[in-house]
Amino acid sequence: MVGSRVKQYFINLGIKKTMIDQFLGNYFVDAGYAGVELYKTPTGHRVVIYAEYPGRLIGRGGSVIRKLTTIFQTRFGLENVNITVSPVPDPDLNARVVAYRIVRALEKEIPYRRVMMAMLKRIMDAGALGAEIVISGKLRGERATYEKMRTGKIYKAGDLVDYIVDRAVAKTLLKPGIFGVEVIIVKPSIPLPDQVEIKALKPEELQSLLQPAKESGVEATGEGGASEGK
Amino acid sequence: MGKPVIVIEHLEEGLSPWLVLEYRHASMLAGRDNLVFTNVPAKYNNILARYGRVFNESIVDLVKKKVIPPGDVVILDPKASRRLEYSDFERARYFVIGGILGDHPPRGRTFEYLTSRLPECESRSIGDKQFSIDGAAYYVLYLYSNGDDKGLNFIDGVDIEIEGGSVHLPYRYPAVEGRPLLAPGLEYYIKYRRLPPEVVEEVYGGRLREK
Repeated sequence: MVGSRVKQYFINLGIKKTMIDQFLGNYFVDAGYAGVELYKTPTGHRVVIYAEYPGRLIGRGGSVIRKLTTIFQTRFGLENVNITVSPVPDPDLNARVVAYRIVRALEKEIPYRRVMMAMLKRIMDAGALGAEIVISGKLRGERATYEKMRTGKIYKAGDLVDYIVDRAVAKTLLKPGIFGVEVIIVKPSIPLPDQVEIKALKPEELQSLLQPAKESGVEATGEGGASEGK
Repeated sequence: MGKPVIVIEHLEEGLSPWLVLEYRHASMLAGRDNLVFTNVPAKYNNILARYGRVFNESIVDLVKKKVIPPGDVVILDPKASRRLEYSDFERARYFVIGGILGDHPPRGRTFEYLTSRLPECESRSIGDKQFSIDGAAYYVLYLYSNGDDKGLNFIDGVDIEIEGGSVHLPYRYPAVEGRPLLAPGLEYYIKYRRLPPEVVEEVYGGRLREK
C-alpha cells in the first residue's frame, strides 16, 4: 500500500511536468517544440527539452536557456535546474512537431489541403503505419468545419494505442478565427496482433509438409480444403 | 393566419458561395414572395433579388422606422428562453433568421446583432443546436404546415467524403427520408471547391466566374 504522501509527491511532479510542457508548447511553436522530460537528481532537477530546431531554444550564447533556467526556478519551483536541449530523433514521426509545422504553414497562409497532403506524405515516407490530420475552424472563411484526411492504418482504441499512437493538438489564431490542428501518427513498431503475413513456401517445403499429411490419412481433407479455396 | 415571411438578416461581410447556396435553398423552400433579405450591401442586390425581396436597411432599422410593427416580428435566436410554437404564427408574420455562417461552438452573434438591439421584439429558439440558414427556414415552414415539430427528425453533424478524407459539418440539419437536408449544390461545393455549373449560370448569369 502506497502512502498518500508518496502519491502526492508523484502527482505534484506530474502536474509540474504538464505545466512546463504547456508553457514550452505555448512559447516555442517556432522552435518545433516536441516534448519535455523532467528528472529529479540528487543535486536538483534535470530538464530535457526536445525540439525540431534546438538552436532556437538555446539562443545566442545560451541566452534563452539562461532565461528558461530562471523561469523554471522562480515560476515552477524547481531547484538547481540543469537544462539539456536535444533534437528530436525522428521529427516526421512526432505528432507535436508535425502539428506545429502545420500551424506555421497555416500562419503563412499556405492552402490547408495542400499542407495536409504534404504532411501526410512526409509522415508515411518516414515509415509510419498510418496518420490522420484534422483541421477545424473557419476554413476558407466560411462556415466552421472539421476537415479530416487520413492514410494507412489508424488505431483509435485498444491497448496498442498507448504504445504506438502519438497524438498532438495545436491551435492558432488567424484572421477568420481560431483553428485547431489534431495529428495522429501510428508509429512503426513490432508486428501487431492484427497483422497477417502469408508465408511463401518453396515447392520442396510444400512437399515435405504434404508428405506427413498423406501418411496420416488426411489427404482427402486437404484436397477438399483446396477445392473449397478455389 | 397567412404564410410566414422568412426574413434573413445578412450579417456576414461578403456573400460567399456557401451563403449563396443556403440563401438559394431557403428561397426554394419558402418561395421568392415569402423571403426577404435585409442588411444587404447594394452590390449584392442583383444576385439576391432573384431569390427574394432585398432591403439594404437592417431589420433593426425597419422596425425602428415603423415599417414593420415590432409585434409582427419574431427573432429566431438559440439563446432565447422560449421555444417557437405554432401559436406564434397567429401573432407574428415575420420570422427573422441571422444570415451567419456559424462558428463552432457558436459565438451568439444573433443575440449580439439582433435580439439585443430589438428588445421590443419577441425572440424564440428552435433548439439548442446550431441550424444552417436554410435548415432554420425549413423548421419554421414545417412547423407552420404541420402544427408541431413531432414528425421532424434531425441529424447532428454531417460527414461529406472528399478525396483522401472527409469534411465534418458540426451543425443540425433536418432529416428528410433519413438523409440530412443540405442545400442543393453544397456537397458538390465542398467536394470540388467550386459551385456547380448550373448554380454559377443561375447566380451570375454566365457573365462572372465564381470567386
